[in-house]
Amino acid sequence: MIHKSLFVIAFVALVMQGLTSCTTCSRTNTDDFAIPDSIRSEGELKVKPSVMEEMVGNISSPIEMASLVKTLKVPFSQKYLATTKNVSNYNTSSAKAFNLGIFGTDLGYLNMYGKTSLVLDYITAMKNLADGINVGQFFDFSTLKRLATNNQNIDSLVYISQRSFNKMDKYLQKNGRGNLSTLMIAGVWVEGLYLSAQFLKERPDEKRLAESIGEQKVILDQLLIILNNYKKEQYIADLIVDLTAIKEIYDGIRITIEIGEPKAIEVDGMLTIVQTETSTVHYTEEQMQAIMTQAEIVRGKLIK
Amino acid sequence: MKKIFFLTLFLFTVAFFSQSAKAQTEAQRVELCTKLAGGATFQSDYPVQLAAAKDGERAPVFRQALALRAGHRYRFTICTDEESPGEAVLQLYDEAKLMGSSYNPETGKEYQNFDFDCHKTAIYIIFISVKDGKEGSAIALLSHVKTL
Repeated sequence: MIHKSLFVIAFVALVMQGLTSCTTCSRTNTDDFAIPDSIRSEGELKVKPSVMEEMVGNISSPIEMASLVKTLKVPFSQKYLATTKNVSNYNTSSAKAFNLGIFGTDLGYLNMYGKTSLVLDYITAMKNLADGINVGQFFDFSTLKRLATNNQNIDSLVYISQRSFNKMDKYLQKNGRGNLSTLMIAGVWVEGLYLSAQFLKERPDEKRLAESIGEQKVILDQLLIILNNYKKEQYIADLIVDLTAIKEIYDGIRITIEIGEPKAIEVDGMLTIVQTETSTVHYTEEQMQAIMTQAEIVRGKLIK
Repeated sequence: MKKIFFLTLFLFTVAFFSQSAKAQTEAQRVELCTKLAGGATFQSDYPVQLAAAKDGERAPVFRQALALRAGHRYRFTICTDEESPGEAVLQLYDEAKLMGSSYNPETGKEYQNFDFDCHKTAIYIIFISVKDGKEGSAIALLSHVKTL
């Protein structure tokens, strides 16, 4: 009996070793995307829509939004950020994951503006939520706290924040909890849209801000495709309804593409590819206003 | 009896610690690669491990779809592992159109980084393969350079 148990333990240990030794192999195959020849040719690539649904990365990221508002010299404003006082209200895994995304965007915004004194509050809230969905081990709270408290290297703060967030996301995806990963991403996106809307209210003449909101039409379409994979879950079904209300406004916005070939420029050994193909967003002020209002409603409902 | 117990304990310890060591190594590889990205703001990392091409079959390729936004300069970095038998190549595609590559087969030149000035918000795809169908491992990074 004891021999049998020991054998089982040894077997489990070896199987675990075997399984975990190939954690980076999941997105490689030799069938659908076998294109090493394309290094030498520009053969046509075909991506199955089902594959796209599973794996689109960088769907929402606070970096671009924060960088844009900083470039436009929009002053930092704490009043737009989600309060961390409601953390105890987020009782379900879904609410925890979604609001982890909300705070993730707020943290990205704080980091980009170097507001380290406010960071501690947000990383504490995020650590709470991450622990609540059993991914707290990937959130490097102690290093983030040290960097924020000592007002140290902002680059490291941004790097560790972003990497902690990615690690939680990847872990959830790899462990059959893609629903929570998707909710985190949705939270990042909703907060990004909300913040952009607030900045546009402050700077109504800033075309770049309005365009960046308009371009989210492309991203929202992808986000909804991914969310639809988990629509059986009530929280996600409700979120789909809310986001579809935003999508309906976006449906009236047109994005036109002017075709062009990429140009390669090499300066001092650094290669830059300039895309000459451009997208233009066609929107009315009413449409923009409607998106902003709807974003506020959806976000307000979900962070309560 | 004792022998079996210690053997089991040993196997379990090896399985556990080799995983921890691997995780640590990956973190270190990402950090090192980030330094080579030259001050751009880190966004995502993609650890890649590809097997060698089998006879008569096409070599394996890693692919990742990414949402990139107009008006931003992104940096793609590829760091082939020191112990990798083959050199990894990163290519960026917009649907079927090749936008950029870390390797230019016409000149034979390799680039650890290349920047991409994005002017169209869309879903792009990065493909990572290993030259000459060899086995290989690498870390690829997406970073944000600046708003254009």
